[in-house]
Amino acid sequence: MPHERAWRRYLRFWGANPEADVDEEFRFHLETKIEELRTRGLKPEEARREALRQFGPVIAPRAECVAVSRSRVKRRSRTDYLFDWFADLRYAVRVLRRTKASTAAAILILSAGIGVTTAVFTLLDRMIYAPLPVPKPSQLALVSQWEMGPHGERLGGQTFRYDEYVYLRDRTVAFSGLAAETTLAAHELHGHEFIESPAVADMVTGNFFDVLGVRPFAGRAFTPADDVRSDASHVAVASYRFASRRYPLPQDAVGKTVYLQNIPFIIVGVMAPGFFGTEKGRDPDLYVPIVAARELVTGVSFDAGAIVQPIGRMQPGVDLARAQSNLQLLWRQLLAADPAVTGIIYGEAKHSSNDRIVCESGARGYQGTGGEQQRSLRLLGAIVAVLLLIGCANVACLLVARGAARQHETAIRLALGAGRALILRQSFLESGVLALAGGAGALAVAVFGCRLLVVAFHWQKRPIEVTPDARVLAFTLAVSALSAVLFGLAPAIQLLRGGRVPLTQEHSVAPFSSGKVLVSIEVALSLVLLAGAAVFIRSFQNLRAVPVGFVAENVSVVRIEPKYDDEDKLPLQEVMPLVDSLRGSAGIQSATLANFVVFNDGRVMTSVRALDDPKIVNANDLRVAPGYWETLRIPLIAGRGFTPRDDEHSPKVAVLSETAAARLFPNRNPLGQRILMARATREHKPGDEIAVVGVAKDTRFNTVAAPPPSLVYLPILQRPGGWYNRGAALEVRSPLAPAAVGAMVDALVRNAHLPLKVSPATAFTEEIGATLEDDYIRMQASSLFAALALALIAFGLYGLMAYTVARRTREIGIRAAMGASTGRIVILILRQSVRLVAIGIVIGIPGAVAAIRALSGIVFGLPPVDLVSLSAAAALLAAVGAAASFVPAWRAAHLSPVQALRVQ
Amino acid sequence: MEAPALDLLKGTLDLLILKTLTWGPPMHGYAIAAAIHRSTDEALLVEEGALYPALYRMEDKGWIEAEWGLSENKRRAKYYRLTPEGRKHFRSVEKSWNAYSSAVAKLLGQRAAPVT
Repeated sequence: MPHERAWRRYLRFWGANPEADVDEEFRFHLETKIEELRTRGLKPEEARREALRQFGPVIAPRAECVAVSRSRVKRRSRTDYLFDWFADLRYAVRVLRRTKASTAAAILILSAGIGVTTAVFTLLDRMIYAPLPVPKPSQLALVSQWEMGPHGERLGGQTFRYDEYVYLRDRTVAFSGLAAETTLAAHELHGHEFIESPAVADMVTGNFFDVLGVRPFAGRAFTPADDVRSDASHVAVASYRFASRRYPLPQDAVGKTVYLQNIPFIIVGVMAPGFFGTEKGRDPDLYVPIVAARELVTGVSFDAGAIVQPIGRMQPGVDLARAQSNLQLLWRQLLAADPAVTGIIYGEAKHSSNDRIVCESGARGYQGTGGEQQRSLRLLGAIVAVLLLIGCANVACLLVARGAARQHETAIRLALGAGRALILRQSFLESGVLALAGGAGALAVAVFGCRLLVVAFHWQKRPIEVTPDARVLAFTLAVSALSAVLFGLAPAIQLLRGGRVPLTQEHSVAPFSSGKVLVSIEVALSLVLLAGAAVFIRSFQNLRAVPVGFVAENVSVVRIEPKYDDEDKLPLQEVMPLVDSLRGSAGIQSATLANFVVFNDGRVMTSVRALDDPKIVNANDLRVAPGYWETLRIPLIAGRGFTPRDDEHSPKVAVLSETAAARLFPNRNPLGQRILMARATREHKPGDEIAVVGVAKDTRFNTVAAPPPSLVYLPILQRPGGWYNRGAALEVRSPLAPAAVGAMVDALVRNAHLPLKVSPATAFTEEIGATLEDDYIRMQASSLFAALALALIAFGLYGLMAYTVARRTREIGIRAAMGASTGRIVILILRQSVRLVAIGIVIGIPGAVAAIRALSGIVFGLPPVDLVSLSAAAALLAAVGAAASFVPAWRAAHLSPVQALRVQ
Repeated sequence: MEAPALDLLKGTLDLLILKTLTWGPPMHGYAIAAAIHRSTDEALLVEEGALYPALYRMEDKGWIEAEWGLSENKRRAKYYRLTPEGRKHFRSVEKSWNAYSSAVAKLLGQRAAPVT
């Protein structure tokens, strides 16, 4: 019964078949009996009847046998299953150890790929995704208020005033507790004493720790009683990290005194380890009661300024929408009850009826990174994911190549009765072992990569834990498993197809087509990465090539500020002679002073209008000393710059940038016109008017990418106060190195005994470069990973071509013997790889175009679909592909025909 | 088979099978049935079909183990063999059976022929 037997064996691969087994056994019994009876002389029909009689009933025994057999198989499969897996696992490890080179390569590629992916995930998790380490974080809600546009879009976020928060806290029914903290932090300061890594304190309400549900490690946390202002309010709760950093034992902190802005605070408790407040990537050293903000927050009135951001714990069963509508209702009541309740920030903004309260999930706290940095980090995540895919394709390629070499072994195993399921399982087990080994290596790579990323993002000072935690481990494991499935698929398919190859055939007919597919996929993915990198490189070049409007080369920047923290004014009367003597020094061409360095120090926006025109123009406000335009080589196109006589005692003057002049005085000569600034734009008294004495050429201001804004220059001598930073910056044009200029300034400050703190000098070009940090990181990271992708491609193609050449040695030998020239053979091999790369590029073009288009929003000076980047990427890929396959081709061409023919 | 054959007592079949298999080489079901038939002088009536559930149960208990092989007439047949555990079990059952049957024989005033 050949037919039935084949069918039976097929079924056996997927497990025993009890019915068929019992039937066969019974049939054997009866047939043997019939034969025996016939040898005794019975007729066939009689023999059959007699055999059946002796056998007795059939149905019941058969059913019983099947039942026993089935339960036995079930039990057996449960116990032996594990044992089989273990045996297979040992076999897998043995196979992997036998092929050391390819195993090592695969583990290396996987470690790198999974490692960088884990590193980026770790940072994303620490800064954005991980839930706050507090009980039931999903009940938390972050409360903010937003000015809404006409279409429900958020225009600008605002925080609350303390009394507004109290109003909401006392009346809300949606929250079991509504806590709050200030948006500003206080710093440790005690007279002129030097403090190493001074503490930073957050100001929180008395119910803050209760609402978050965290308990102190030692001492006490705050209670609502701490919200009442008294001498007892000068207490602080330390973070575990701070307490263990500052004191021998964390619990020693309790009872110690810390000075914040010269006010003593007594530490009454230490928070539990692991608690870091509500913002990712931060860990305030101290928490002090929010009422202390009245003394600690200067410049902004605690009672009038909106500096409070609430965080609440919703009642069980209340969702964000209900919490939000509850607060919104209260908010309207508050505004209706007292129209005078208007949050005043810096004396300017007011609540409008368009303001809406928004509750967002606080499960993850406040994000530790936002804006461009967050975008860079996510972008990096996408890049490393693609890189990992390429790596997987590469490893698949390796395994397929090895599988091709093992085809004979597989054929034998199949012939010996190993089922396909078994062989597949073996194949995936090998992939799994590889992936796990890769994942283990990846953890080391991840820690290292994470440190690198922290440095790249300038987060060294942030308390970011780079060692993997349970979440990161789970992520690594999941990514490893996923990779195993991805790169295990191709070898498995190959095995299934390879099973058809007859045992006797040493080499199969089309053994490596999946290798070709994989290389093409790799090329396609690499094209996406390369195109992205090209876009970032070109964007960065564009940014660097933008004329900023001044000559930053050979300008050194030296920041100075009052020596002591409790002085908030620069002694200008003494600083100006310093600038003058600097100007006279050897090697110095010119020197000036500005209240901040454009590009890197932020900016101050103010409102400006012409005296005779109510239209308000927003402009940047920069205070400069005489010689500013000369030093930075900004041309004055009309009027004059400032002189030492433009001081407090002379009439107020200003110099406008071209854009400011055009906006304020369209079609008019701005010289001699008068302008009003800030509050004076609303109501002014005599003496508020400022005369325009000059117009300077436009310059870029705080970013290279944005067009030059309106800019009003004011004499630093005329209005010394009224800027937000305590210090100022000397800008010195000199061919000397910044360090030399810095030393010169240091010497002058010391000789004159000026109470100034001098920061290390920098080059102005670096200051501009610092604003391109995000673009720089993107360019660097994308190029680095594109280079890695190229290396993988080269490696993969080289392997494939070397394998192909080895397989075609005989054919090549014949060709050489028939007189094919070296060049022809090289071309023969190259043609194959070029075709693969070309196919990959064609497949990759839609993805690359999509990537370029997606990036067009964050790159500078490039069309939405930058064909130059695309072609450059394609050309580079083609070149690398050709180079990688040239070596095997060259080797093929230089085989001696005799040797080549001897193969096999 | 003119003489009235004895019905098999419960549990006796297991004992007979084990006894048959102690003789040594693995046997298939048909051979076991034939051996029991012969060695009991055809006195015991064994419905051959009943043999198989007993074999399957004992295989399940681990007293015997089975393997597919080729029979004398070159056919696929399932061969059974005693396991060490089965041998141990047989010895203990054999002992109690002998005690039981000699007790019965004494009661009936006859000399009991030991099973062995």
